[in-house]
Amino acid sequence: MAPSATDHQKSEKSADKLSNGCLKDETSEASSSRKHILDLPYDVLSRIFSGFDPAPELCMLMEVCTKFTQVAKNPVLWTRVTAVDPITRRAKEHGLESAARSIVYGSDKALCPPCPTNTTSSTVQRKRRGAGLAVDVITSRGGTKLTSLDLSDCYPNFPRYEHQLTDDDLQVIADRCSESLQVLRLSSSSFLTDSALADLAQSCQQLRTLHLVGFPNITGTALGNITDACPTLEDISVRRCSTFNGRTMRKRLIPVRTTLRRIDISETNSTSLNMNAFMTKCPAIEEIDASKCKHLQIRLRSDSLQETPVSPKITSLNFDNIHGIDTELIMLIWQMCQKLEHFSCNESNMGGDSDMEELFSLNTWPPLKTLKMAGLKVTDEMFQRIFKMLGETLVECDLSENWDLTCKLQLLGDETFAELKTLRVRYTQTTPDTVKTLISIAPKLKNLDLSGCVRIDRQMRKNPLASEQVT
Amino acid sequence: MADVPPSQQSNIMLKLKSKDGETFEVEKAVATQINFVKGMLEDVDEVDGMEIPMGEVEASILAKVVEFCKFRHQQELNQTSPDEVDRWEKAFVQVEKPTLFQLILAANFLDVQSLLDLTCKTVADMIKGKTPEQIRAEFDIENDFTPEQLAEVRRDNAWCSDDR
Repeated sequence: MAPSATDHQKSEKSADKLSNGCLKDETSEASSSRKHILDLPYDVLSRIFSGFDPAPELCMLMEVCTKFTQVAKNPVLWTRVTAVDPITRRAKEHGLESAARSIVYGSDKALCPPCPTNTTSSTVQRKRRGAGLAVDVITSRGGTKLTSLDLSDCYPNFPRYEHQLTDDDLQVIADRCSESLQVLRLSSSSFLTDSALADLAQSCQQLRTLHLVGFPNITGTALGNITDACPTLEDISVRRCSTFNGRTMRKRLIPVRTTLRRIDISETNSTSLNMNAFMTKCPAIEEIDASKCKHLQIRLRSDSLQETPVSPKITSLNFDNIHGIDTELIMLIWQMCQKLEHFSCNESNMGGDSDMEELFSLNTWPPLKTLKMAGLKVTDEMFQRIFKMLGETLVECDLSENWDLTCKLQLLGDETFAELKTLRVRYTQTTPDTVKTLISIAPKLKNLDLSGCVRIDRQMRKNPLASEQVT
Repeated sequence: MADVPPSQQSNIMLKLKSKDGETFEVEKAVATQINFVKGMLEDVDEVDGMEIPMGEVEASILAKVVEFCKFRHQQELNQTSPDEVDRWEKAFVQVEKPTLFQLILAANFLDVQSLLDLTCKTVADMIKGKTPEQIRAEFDIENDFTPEQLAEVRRDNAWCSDDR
């Protein structure tokens, strides 16, 4: 039953029809007129528009005609909004995102700018730029329908006051969307205060996800106020909040300990992380990111856990660039967290070589899908061990800057890296032969990073997977 | 509808009457995919051979709606593969825009949700990835903004749109 084109009305379009942009009832249509997109009723156009992201797609549709503007402002289309400013979007398209970040956050001066004097929010003329404009426009369109607002890429690194979020903007969010908002990711700002965040949390008690990334003025006190007000928070991030030292974090998290699923304290000045507390007191915790906390000491004692046996649900741990970590700790973690899937400790400061060997000689490993151990003196023997223990599960692996590593593997049976998609071995002694072997046993390998491998010629380094296909 | 076995349903025929007087004889099981028809039948006992006026829907469009419902009915009976459904649907919506819009209006009025989904998605795909100027050209839409209105829309959206 092939469908047939049944357009039998070939009358010429009349010009005056186009000028009629207003809404028409579908039951009172003129009998033989050719239908135009603007003849569709409001709710049907709204249904068509529901396939588009609010930003930038709906915003662009608004520029087509006045009826499109009306329809695109329908609050039901503005329930989940991710705002990305045009400059960040362009940087992302060119893969420059991380570069743009490091420029601003590399200097300590940018982290601690002066706080402006507080003004009363109601009387201030709304500023019409940057993240503040985004907040104003999005919250007025979504209103009480808005459940998710992601501003993390909305003018994230703009040093100028008028682009950054202020306390007034938080007030606007609280005033307009407090009943519905469940997910809030704010972009970095030097001008937000603890008290404004506490007020926001007081109003938005439905919040499940709150990301405060890059707020140099936010302290542990704010975290305590937030968790007190929003007892169902599941996902908290204070990444790049440079004054956050985590000293009282354990106490601050008590109100949310039963719901907490993910916590991110990376790039803060946190000094201690009590893993025992998370494992015993937070039954839902799955993900902890404490990377790049220079002064962090991770505490984990095996004896206390034996008293109260638990099976932690933790699936993801990120301990990149931490000084206070050693192989004994990793061994404990691997033994205790039997559901661990993602483990990263790139560039962390380990003990001597012997310790590492002990870690790799463990007989039971968690079912890791991601293992990142760049710069940890991983040797070929250890790589062989990874192959043996994780060959079936490993999806992503980073062993860059391990100077002695050649990635040589002894293939005994028909073992493979069955799931491996990404392997980074930058700045290692990897050779063309070992690469060939790796490719032959990793059928799903998509990304192989060989940059800085001096024993491999430039062409192969650039495109290792393509060169293999040619030969 | 669920408690009546398919064999019995196939005996009951309905006559769907278009605005311009043409009638389409359709099995009840096919016709009840149209919620408008289903709603009407709820208040009636004897339905065989019954004539149901389909409001403002014209014959050419009603033919398409019936064709769609028949395919959906067959698809449920035969467990048609997703690929084949996809191909059929693509061919089905290969019509001129005015017809497509009439089809949308009919699906909306007669409350055939799956047809409305398909046709709305077809229009959305035509819009996707185009600039406002291209959309106006594609759908023959007049730019009815005053310069001030357009400037205001652009000012409001400056946080996500490139300056043009």
